[in-house]
Amino acid sequence: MSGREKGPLTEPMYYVLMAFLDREMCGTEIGAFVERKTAGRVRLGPGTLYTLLAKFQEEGLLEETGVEGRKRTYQITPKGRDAFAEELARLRACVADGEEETR
Amino acid sequence: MTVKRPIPCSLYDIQGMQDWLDEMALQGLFFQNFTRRNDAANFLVDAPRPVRYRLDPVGRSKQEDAKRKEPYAQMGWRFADAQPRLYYIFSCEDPEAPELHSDPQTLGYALDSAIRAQIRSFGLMWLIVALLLAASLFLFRKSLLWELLLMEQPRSIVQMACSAVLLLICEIAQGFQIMQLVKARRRLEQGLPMKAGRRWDRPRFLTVYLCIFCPIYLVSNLLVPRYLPEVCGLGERELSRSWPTLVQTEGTGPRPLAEEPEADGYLKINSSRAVPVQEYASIDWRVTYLDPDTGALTRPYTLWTGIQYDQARSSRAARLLYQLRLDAEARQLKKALDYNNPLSQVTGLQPWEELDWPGLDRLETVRFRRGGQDHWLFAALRGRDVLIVDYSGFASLEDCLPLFLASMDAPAL
Repeated sequence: MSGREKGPLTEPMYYVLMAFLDREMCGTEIGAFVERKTAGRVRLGPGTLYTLLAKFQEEGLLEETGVEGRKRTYQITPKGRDAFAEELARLRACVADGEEETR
Repeated sequence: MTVKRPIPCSLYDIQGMQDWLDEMALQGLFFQNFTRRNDAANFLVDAPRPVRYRLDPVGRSKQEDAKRKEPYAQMGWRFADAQPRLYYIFSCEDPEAPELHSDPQTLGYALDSAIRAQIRSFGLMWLIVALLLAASLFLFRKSLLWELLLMEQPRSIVQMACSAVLLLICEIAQGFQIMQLVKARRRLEQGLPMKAGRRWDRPRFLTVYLCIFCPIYLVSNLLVPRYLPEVCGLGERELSRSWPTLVQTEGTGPRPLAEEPEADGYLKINSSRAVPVQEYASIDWRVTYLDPDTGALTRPYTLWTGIQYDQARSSRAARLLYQLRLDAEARQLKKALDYNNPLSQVTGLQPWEELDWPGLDRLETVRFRRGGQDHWLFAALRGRDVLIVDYSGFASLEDCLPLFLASMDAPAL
């Protein structure tokens, strides 16, 4: 099953999907995860983060699992996992091509 | 203390607005909100310091957008104000906080909803304008056609045309603004940052109003007459045709006049591009007489002729005008059935008759009584000529009609 029909993911999109691979998360946890994972190289602004959450929900890559007061948690869907896997394979291929050429 | 500053860029120029608000903060002016007319913004005056202002495009629903304010605040971005169906403005004083939109492509996606909302509102506006225009054209088609053909009240036509043009310009300008958003989205989709547009000294709403609307209405009020036809006494202006006199019309009936009486009346003369000759003559002669039975002076009987003659530039225009005049006469007669004044009330209104008359394209007649006297009215169309005669006296329509047609045939004076 194809994960995503709208072209490659941008770096923030890639890391947001990555954040959900192991567990459900809420917005602030995602931001912290991405910053930690990239050692501060990628910082998600709130506009970017909440636009991506809405967009991924709309595309069926994420789904909301609970609302606690104002805190909302999300989890990745099988389609979201496929989209992440697709992007990972694309990035691996890019890296492999680059390494092959610079060897 | 708050101060007001005119907005120097388009409200649709996202980068331009952000840059301007950031610059104002460095001057000690901190954005509070937009003014009601959206031509200026209110600022709080305080010690200058760097504050970032960022515009967040509206999402799919207001409820969803409202839920974002708190998480944004937790990440250092405080809500300031909104432009309905366009964006929200957030400010951040923490230099360490990440940018509101750290990914241009995601911002491009976020702009989609704002663009859709703008297109919806733009489309709705066009629809409303089109429906209003269509409804007005349908409801007032006859009066509009009347005015366009006869130009009796040119000021209203000029003002209506100016308003329509202004409305069109406003709508086109709005379309260009939306195009600006679409261009910004294209740049963002390519991962490029947005570019600020041109700045200008935005005139205040009142200035725009004074500079655009006032001249249009002042100029039209000063230069374009409200009512164009010239109204004057009989004999003060020469008509293009010499119509039958009272002696001539009464000469065909049972009570001929020995000499031409001194008649009262007036002329109404106008000219337009479509109908260069528009002449109306109202000729009446009131006679008081002794009632043979009572021997008392009784109410006058009137000889009255109203002649409306129009010569259009084309036979097509003449046909249109003929129908308009005929409809107006029919409407007027129907209305006069309900008048309370016995002198102007119409009674005994007969149905309109369409007659064939040699040399005429159309001829319609009607008979009725007004003010206790018999009237007949005929409307004739021949080529570019339209003639309507309303007569009250003793002569018959069949006898008088050839006289009027002969006058219409005679070369113009």
